[in-house]
Amino acid sequence: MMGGGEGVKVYRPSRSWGRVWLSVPGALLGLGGVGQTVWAVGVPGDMPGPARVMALLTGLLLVGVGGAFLLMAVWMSSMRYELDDRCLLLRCGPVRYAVPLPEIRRVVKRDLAFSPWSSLRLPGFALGEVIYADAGRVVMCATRALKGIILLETERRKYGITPADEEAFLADLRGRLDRLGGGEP
Amino acid sequence: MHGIWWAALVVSLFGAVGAAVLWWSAGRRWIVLLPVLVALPLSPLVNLFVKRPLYLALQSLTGVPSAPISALPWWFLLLVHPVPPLTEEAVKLLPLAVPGIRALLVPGMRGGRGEAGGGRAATGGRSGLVHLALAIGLGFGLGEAWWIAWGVARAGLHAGLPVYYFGGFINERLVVMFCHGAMTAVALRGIARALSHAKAGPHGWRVGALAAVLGGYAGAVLLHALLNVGAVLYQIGKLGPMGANLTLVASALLLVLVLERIYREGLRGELPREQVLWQRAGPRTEF
Repeated sequence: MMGGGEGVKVYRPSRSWGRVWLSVPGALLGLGGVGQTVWAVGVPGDMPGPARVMALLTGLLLVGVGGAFLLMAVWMSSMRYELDDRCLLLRCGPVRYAVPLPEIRRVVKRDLAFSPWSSLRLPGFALGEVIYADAGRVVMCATRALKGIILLETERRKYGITPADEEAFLADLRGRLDRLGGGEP
Repeated sequence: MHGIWWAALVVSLFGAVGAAVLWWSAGRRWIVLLPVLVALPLSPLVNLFVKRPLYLALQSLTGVPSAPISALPWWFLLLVHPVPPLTEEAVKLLPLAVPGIRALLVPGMRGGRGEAGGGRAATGGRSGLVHLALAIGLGFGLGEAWWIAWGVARAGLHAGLPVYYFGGFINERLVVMFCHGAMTAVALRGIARALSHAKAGPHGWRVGALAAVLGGYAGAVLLHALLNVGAVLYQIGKLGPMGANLTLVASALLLVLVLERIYREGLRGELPREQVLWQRAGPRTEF
């Protein structure tokens, strides 16, 4: 189920420094990687073969990691939440998570506890399945990593979001969930 | 100027970033930086006034002459191996003598976790123990970096080399700074447990509390002794630099696991402050 219901409303995430946190390390890693790759290919004539290959691979790896960071900085500008009568669609670039409204059991706002085991979580940006010390695995599509996260709990998963206009989003979501029935007063 | 001084400066800059992260993650409370400052001189002090006299006493007792570490007999190395862990893990608990610092650990004290308005605000909402331990480790580690830099510069070792030749020193000191914090967390956990024994009731709490404190301290000492094995083997020429680095990284990873466990334990005692915005009627599914 990927949205497509009645009355689609689009909500943007709150503003954050996430793009800076992605762009600066991405640019530094990428430039460092390019420099190392060029150096490994051209300059050291007396460098042994295995060392040259290692230097080249490390340079390419850095270019890849830096490029991935920059790509996500670009994706971040497309982050949004699309809410209709059947589904909430979380989008960031090509990444999409559909949260069917009938499956939502609870909506809470809370802070999450840092854990070193994380997939993609930086200050001001969290995307994909992120492990938290207190809440366990949470599917994030948010511009904050820890503070003031809106958690949508379904039977199978938890989703974390940070809409900019929180009041309007929650009022809209509550209305649609209540129309589906089953909400507590 | 000796390159090691610049390297120590680089370590300090990273340390300042670490302090800023601690301050931020503790809810922007300046009190969390006090342990950093108090712990700064502890490494030079323990080296000058505790470890050095102890080494000299052990040397005179055993009749081992002063010599470079690689020339010392193996049994003497074994004898002195527990000295840094025993002394450093004890001295790192000294900042607790400062009431403002103790309040980060002890519930019910001003600004402590048990006080209304304290709790989450005091510690950024999460385990105050971990913040306190990392702050002490940061201060102690910074002091230790400058102490080592002073020793290297005074001995005239590697003089004339530029700062980037001291990358190994910088990396090692940064990792060790974290390790100091994690090991202190183990000792502090023992003290925190002792305090909960004391709160539990009057009957036999002293035995339980003492066991908890000693258990925490022993755990920290054992981890510290384990961490030092690679460095000692490197210094006596039984392990190459790569091997020494690998043992350091492996120890640091082990300490990450230990610290995360302590952190999670701290969270169990804190119910999440959540605001329920909507809830489906009927029995709740627990995750």
